[in-house]
Amino acid sequence: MTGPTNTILQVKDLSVGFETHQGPAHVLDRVSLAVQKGEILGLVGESGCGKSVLARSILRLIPSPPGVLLGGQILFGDQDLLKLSEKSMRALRGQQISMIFQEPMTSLNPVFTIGHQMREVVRTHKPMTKAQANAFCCSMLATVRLPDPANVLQRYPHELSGGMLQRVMIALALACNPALLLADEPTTALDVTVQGQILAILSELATAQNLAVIFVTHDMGVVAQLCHRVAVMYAGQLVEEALVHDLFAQPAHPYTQGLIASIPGQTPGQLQTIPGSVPSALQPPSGCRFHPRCPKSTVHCTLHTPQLLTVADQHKVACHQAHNRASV
Amino acid sequence: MTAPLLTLDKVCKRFLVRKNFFGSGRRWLTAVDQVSLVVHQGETLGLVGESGCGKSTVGNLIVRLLAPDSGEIIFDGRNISTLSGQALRAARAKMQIVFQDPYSSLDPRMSVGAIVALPLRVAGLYQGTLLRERVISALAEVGLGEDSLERYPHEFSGGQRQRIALARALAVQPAFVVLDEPTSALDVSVQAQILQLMAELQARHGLAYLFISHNLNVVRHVSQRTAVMYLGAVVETGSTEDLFTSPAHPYTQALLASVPVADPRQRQNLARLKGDVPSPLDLPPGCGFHPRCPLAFDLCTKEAPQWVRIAPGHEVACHLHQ
Amino acid sequence: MPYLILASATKSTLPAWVRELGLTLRILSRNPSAVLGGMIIMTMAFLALAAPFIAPYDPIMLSLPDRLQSPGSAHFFGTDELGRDIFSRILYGARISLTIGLLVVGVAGITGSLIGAVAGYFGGVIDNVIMRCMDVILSFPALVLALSLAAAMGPSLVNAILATAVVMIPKFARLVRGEALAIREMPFVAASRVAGAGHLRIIFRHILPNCLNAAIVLATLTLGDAILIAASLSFIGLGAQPPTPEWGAMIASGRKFLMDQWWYATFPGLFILVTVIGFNIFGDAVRDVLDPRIRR
Repeated sequence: MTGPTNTILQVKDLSVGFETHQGPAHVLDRVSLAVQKGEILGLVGESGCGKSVLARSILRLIPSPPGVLLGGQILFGDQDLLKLSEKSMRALRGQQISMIFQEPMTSLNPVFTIGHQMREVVRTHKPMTKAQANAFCCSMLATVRLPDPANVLQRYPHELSGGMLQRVMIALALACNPALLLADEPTTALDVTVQGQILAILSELATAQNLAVIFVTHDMGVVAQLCHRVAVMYAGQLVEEALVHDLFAQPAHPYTQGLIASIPGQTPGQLQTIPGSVPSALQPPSGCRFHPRCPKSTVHCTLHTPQLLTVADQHKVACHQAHNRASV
Repeated sequence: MTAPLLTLDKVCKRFLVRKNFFGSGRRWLTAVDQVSLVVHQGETLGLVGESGCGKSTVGNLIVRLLAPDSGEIIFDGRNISTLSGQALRAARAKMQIVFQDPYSSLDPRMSVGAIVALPLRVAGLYQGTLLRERVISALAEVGLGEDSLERYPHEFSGGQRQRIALARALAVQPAFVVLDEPTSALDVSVQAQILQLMAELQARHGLAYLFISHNLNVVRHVSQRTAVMYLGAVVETGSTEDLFTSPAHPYTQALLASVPVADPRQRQNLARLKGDVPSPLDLPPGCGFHPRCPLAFDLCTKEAPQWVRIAPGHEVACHLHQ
Repeated sequence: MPYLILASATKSTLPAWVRELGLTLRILSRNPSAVLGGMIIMTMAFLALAAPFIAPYDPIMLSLPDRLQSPGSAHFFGTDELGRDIFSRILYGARISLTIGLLVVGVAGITGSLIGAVAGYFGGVIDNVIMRCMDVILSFPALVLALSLAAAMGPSLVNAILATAVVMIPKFARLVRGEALAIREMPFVAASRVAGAGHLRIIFRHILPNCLNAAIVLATLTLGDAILIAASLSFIGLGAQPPTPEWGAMIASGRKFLMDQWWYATFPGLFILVTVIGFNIFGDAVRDVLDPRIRR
């Protein structure tokens, strides 16, 4: 199933920094991952881990001061997205790689109708008449199961609920049949019953259009229900990557273990906690970045940064202890 | 059975909303509709619901940031629904609140020590070194050291700020604390720390909590009893175990089914409920849930359902059970 | 209960406000407008403070034989019709102008902020009444109103300061009212209210300190205006009275001699210009730095 021809996107050793008043902050540190056609990859982590920065870097949406590219490649097909001109990137965005964000209300202009904005986007990518665009937009809204699409096109953004707006954004993102969809916490701001609807739509559309999705979230429950494969990030680094069943059944990295155990109701009895807090990006700890909070850290962990190595079938982890266990 | 610490009896609250710029077309927004709740000493009552259900408004009514339009709020034997001024201050002394957003619930211009000391100063309970010691011990109880006294909120992380907010609430030694989504803005690992801290503080001081949240996993973990709200009304109450294992109201059932379970072997159908939460400006007639209810029938569109007890301590407002 | 390690343990032992000031200054030092404006302001401040020591002549002593000398080595900026050294008068004039600016902004700032905080916090009828009074003041052009007030109160420097301050009050009131409207909705105000804090405590402890940043920006920008208005009043004769070496008054006296003795009116005018520009560009830079920093 995973062969070189099936890989849609490959991130290699991506490192991104930010210039702040207090000095340079290392936000992404040599992150490598790959996405296959038709798979939903979950990108999980807590605040400050760099998952949003990673998603935005793929589409080159990070403003260049203060963001700084420190190294790496992002291969889409055979092109390195980091080396493309801004003009080529603009042609790519919305066409071959689309993105949806957390707050649909701020992605839409409040003074224009939904129809106006959708037609504008559609006609930028595919020349057609206004009537054709209207019909096309109606059909798109129908695929995301919005009732009465013609009516919706005449509404203004503030007249629609968060869930409906997010469906509009999904419809827009998928209008040109992209190969890859980046979803940056699209359901975090929605109620749980609405979230369920959106996740169901995304899952169906991904299967129907053989769409690859990178789904950024902090919610392990969503990951378990939606994704095929999961990548866990901590403090700017990728610490574990596995198929979803393997990740939940046998999490190899202590951070992943702690994260799953922190979910109320996951383990019976006392709620497990991870002591301490996420390190500052300005002064990351030496060696393994998780060692100050890790119950299993040793002196070796404080000195040497672990590499992301395969320890089981399609299961990679960056942890010295896990490596030792695997090689035994 | 001792008298409950807090009783809400058919509390209502409406807000006037101006439809357009010139003030014509004024409409009433029913935020809280005939809500009745009971909280006993030392227990945690969970209040769940989605956005617009009125749970935060209930929290604000209890601490009297708002006054109810009708109904009664009885705290520690006293009816606080219409009090004001000095009487309210005295009656409210044993009540505190912790808010959701750790970034805006602490005054950025005040030092942490001043923030925690403020309720003590207002109450006039301590002065001078005694005050300082009380502040230090409150901060120590939440795991922050003496060196945080002179620091400012922006130097702390979200989880630490919620600890400061807890210290502020506990400094005056209340009997009851309203927790309005206290961990919703925090990462899951930090949330676990804060929940554990709250449990410890509750055990140590015999506190009663009203835990308001939209996160069902968290509510299940922290509360002994739970109430579910929809569009300003309570639709079901019961012990947490009863409610979560055998939910009686169709909304509770749908809500529970929509929560993504962190176990990929249990793949769920997450889209149980169609449509969106309706606006509280346009309350549907009869039962507020009927437009989205998969089990609605004719009576549901005409009459609001009455409360029915289906098991000891488990009550529901639904025509299906009458 | 073990103490937790603070994620951002600062090593400095200086009080927080000093550190905040240091950070602000460091950021400002990278902004060219701030640097230029700051240098102008500091130069003027230095001249004002050092006037008694560096002024070569007494600013009010007459010396009729030297009258109307053109700028030269003895008198850098020349002399006026009474033989007084213009350079020395300008130095002493700097003291007066800067003092006027600070007093006006101080009085207007404090009064206006209090008024605005009360209006914004209470809202409703109180807000309406207060802001309509402010609107009345704002409906007059600043100079015209200052002029009328000063004329009514009688020509003197103190009256000019008061008149200018009254004119500036509504600006501060409006600004602080807007901030107060936002701040009173914040959860930390609600938390204080639940703790039993009364209106006065909330206004002074929460509302006003959080308006400080915005008020400082407005104060810096208003300083230039204040100096200008006060100078205009003196120019008309309603402010500083002779022999006070106020810049506006000097321009008024020098007007008659403009054609042949250009130095008399020009140098005071130049100094007013540079000072006001200095405050304005510094104020712009301060606004850019202070306003977007809602959160670190």
